[in-house]
Amino acid sequence: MIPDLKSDDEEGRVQALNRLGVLDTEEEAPFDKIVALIQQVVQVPMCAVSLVDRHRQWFKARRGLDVRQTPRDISFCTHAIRQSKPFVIRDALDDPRFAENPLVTAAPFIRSYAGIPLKTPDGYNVGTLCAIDTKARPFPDAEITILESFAKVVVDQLELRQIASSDYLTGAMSRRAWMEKARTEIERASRHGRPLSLAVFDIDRFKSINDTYGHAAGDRVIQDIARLCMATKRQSDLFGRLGGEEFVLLFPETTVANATFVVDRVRTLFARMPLSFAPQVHVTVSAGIAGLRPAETDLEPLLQRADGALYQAKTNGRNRTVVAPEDQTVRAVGRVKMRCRVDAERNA
Amino acid sequence: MAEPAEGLVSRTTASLETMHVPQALHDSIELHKRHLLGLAGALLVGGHDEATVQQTIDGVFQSYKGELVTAILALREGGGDP
Repeated sequence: MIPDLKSDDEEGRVQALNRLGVLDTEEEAPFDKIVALIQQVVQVPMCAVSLVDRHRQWFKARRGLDVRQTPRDISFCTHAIRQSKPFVIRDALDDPRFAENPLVTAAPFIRSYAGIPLKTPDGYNVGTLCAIDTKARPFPDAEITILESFAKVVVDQLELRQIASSDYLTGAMSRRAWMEKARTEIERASRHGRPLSLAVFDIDRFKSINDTYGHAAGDRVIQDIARLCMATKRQSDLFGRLGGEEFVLLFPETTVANATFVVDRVRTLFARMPLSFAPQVHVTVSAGIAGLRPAETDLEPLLQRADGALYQAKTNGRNRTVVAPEDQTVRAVGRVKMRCRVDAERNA
Repeated sequence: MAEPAEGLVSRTTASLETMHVPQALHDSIELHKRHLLGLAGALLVGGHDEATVQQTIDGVFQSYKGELVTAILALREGGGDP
């Protein structure tokens, strides 16, 4: 039997969950409808699509449960995701793992549980589809098969959403998905007075690459820069393709100085990368950076300042990073402490 | 149970034939049809009558179709519908 190595890869599992981009989103009719159907078909008082984050379980959809999340260490679902098969508890009071669990001894008074792992196509159990009862009961094979089938259609929906929010060529976030998430991050940063920076990238002389080597080669260059950005960025940074050869990176909790440091690293690495179809040729990128101003709450002006800085980088000779003039003072102050702070900040 | 299940799923998903779906979504749709078939079969084996199964499959598919339309629009907007 081949061991399931992914069941031990917690970091990979959390990343797979984050790639779905569904945590902390609003309740939505498609998922609500599925749990309502399950509740009706399996006849249980409680049912949920539970996603297991690093320290909590969070319900994308729920029926009969008053809370939106619980700590992970008391959740039944955290046991379920460690398995490749359905996890069934016929009577929690008879099971030493759960008899004293606060979800059993107090509301919602869980007594029996069936959790089906929600397995993504890349093999990670990101959560469960669970049916819960307040009385002890078996979950016959026929019901488990039905729940397994429902779990597959839940994963279908999650996957479809991921396809819709990803750029088809690079796997970066699509423009629409990026702008939606960026607005949320800006609102959060503005509300809490936290730093946030934004960089816009553009591949230099891209038209001549297309004209000389063809559009397939151009697509490979686009994929290369996207791969490099995705490998360099933190999990919390938002990387999207705005269109054509233009990309954008939003850095939450990051000063302009530190964002400049990261963008310059990407730019330098990319300039050194030989093209696979023309090893003697090196392609460069230009970048413009802007930082969120105090009390600024909109994406558009920030994007415009970064775009203006990108235009300056292009007109000043390309293969360079320019910080928006309004943010250069911030950058100069930040630079003093940049080198010693950058690793701590980015690894936080 | 395969034949009734296939009939139920075909009736439900027939509306897809009139939609122009980008290539990037074809695999997802085929997989979803297979999963609907599995669900319909499991419900029938579990003793649910055809009307209930049809209603359930319709409900699940309507949810998926709503997401599908959003995905199609997003792919067209992003140039992913060559």
